[in-house]
Amino acid sequence: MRRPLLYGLAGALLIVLVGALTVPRLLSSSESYNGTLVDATGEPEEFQLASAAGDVQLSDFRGRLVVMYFGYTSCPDFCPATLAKLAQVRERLGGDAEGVQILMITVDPERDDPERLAQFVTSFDGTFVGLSGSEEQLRNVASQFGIFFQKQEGSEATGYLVDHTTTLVVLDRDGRERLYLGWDLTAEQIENDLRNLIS
Amino acid sequence: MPGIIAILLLLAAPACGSNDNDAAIAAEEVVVADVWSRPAQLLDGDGHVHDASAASEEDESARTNGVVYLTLKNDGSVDERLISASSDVAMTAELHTVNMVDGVMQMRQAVDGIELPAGETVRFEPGGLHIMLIGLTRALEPGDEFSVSLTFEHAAELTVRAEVRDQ
Repeated sequence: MRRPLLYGLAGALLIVLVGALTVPRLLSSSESYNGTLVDATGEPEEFQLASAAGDVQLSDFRGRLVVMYFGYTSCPDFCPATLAKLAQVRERLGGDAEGVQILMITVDPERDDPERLAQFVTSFDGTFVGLSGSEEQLRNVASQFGIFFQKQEGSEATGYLVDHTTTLVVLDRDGRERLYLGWDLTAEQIENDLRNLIS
Repeated sequence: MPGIIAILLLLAAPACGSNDNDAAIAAEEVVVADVWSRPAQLLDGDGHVHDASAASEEDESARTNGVVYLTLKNDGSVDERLISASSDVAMTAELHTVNMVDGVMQMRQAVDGIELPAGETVRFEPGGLHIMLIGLTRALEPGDEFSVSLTFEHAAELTVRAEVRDQ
């Protein structure tokens, strides 16, 4: 009778200990973040894409938070709205904005060369960087962050449109995937989440 | 308290009335309000400004697109439909819907137009219904205004002014 009792007590103690360690973390996460926290242990696969200023590697941004948006310059609605919102986020961050790099990675390599992307993103904020590459390169980068994109037939005027995931992916200073931000979050909510990661 | 509420209503009423008169233009029974667009720079790909309209016609990939949002209210007793739109700052314009499916944005041309049921208000707003301007012929700066013409199934064509807002 004693042994089962001991095992039972030890098991209960273990549950309490694990609970004490994990529950506060979960609670604090859900209370202070508007986006979805990711507990990624490894670093994302390194990638190299083209900016108007030359080739860029993901590791070049180590030491800063990286916010990645996947979109395209011919998109009239969601993409300008998101970049305008991210420009507001940088304004709201004030001096802390220096530690945040916004990247727009195209889902339309056929039309978005690095120069066109640079013109587009810097019209929202001079520090934004636009990245392009081959279809294969872009698919590899997007898929490792769970981003989907697919061309859809358009009209004679639009040629084609591109369906794409609108979620923002945030990497921490060590280059680890930390946060997903939904399209419906406000500039204030995004600012809050980025400040949490900065502090 | 009722007295205070009544006074507040009286104070608010003239302001609402004048705004409505300024912003809304009635076309028979469709009322159009809050017509706006976003700033847009012409994207010619090499960082230089060329003859925008010529570049746009020649090369689809060099086109810059824009957007118009507005509010349409069908004050009539019969259902109406917005059939098409055009603008003096774009080669062409299309009516578009947006659906979000599992976080994926799906934008489609509304080839049959947009229904405006009798007595209802339909809002074209970011992340939803919009007029897509295809092949902008000039840059749009905050504070600029341009024309947008709307064609309805029943009501007469209506031309309204869109304001470029920095938001």
